[in-house]
Amino acid sequence: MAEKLMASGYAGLTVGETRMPQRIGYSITGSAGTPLPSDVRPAPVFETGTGRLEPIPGPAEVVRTAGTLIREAAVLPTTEEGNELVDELLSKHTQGLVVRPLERRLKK
Amino acid sequence: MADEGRWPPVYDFGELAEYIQILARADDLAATFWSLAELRDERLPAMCQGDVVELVAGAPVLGEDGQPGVLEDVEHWLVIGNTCDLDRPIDKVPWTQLVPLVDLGSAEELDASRLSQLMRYDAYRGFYVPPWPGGDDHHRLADFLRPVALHRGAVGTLAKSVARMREHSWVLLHSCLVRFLAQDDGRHD
Repeated sequence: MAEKLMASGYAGLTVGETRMPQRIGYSITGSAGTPLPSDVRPAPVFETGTGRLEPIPGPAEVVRTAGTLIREAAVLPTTEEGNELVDELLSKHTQGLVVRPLERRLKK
Repeated sequence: MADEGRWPPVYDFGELAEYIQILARADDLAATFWSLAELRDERLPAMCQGDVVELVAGAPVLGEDGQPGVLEDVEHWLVIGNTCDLDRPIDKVPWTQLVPLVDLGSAEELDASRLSQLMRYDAYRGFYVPPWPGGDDHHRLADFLRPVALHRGAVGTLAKSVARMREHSWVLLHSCLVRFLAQDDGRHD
């Protein structure tokens, strides 16, 4: 996918007394940089009608969506055993080490 | 960086899984992990993400008093800064990032079951780094919790790359970095 897509969502957005239909749209926002994986859809955002894009209300869903994408993109699962071993090895290494203050350069 | 020397930025899931399986199946991980090509490739920056860098220096940290200091001298570091940034003019992007490599000793010192666990890459905060060609036989762990900024003026002179990853090992590093930085903490569940 050469272009980045930005989703715009209309989820019961109220304009005056008129309730607009719920709609999710996508628009191309750029053609440079890291493209999204081909099977990843961007998270939905609100287009407020003023040109500003805002995340959907309640960040939990956005975070969950991002978390799911990242977990799938990273593929690699973590395990309790793996984390414990790495934590043990790294903390064992730095345990007892003293943080030496930086030598201050003498002012002339 | 020359286009022909550039690896794809993001991969589909199948390709990523295949790369990881290549590493998991490898009898000799070190030989599969590291590029045997000449490090001085004129098409590439002098340093790339995933390179092992030799530089004896104290690891700078902010201590428990909130003041800057240094921990132990580190001999080898892993580059986590973006290769693209290392390819930009130094006056525009003067810094890159390294993390220290903790020396775990030889395979005998580490013990087989622990080594096998590390090779599964199933931990957030560290990245297992096997011995590299031309180096010693020690195994190492990159400590993602202690990143350090390196001025690019030292690259290629004081700080030299001594090993470079192959594409699938770089993809693995990339995935582990993403996993580390974007770990879900469940606060919005």
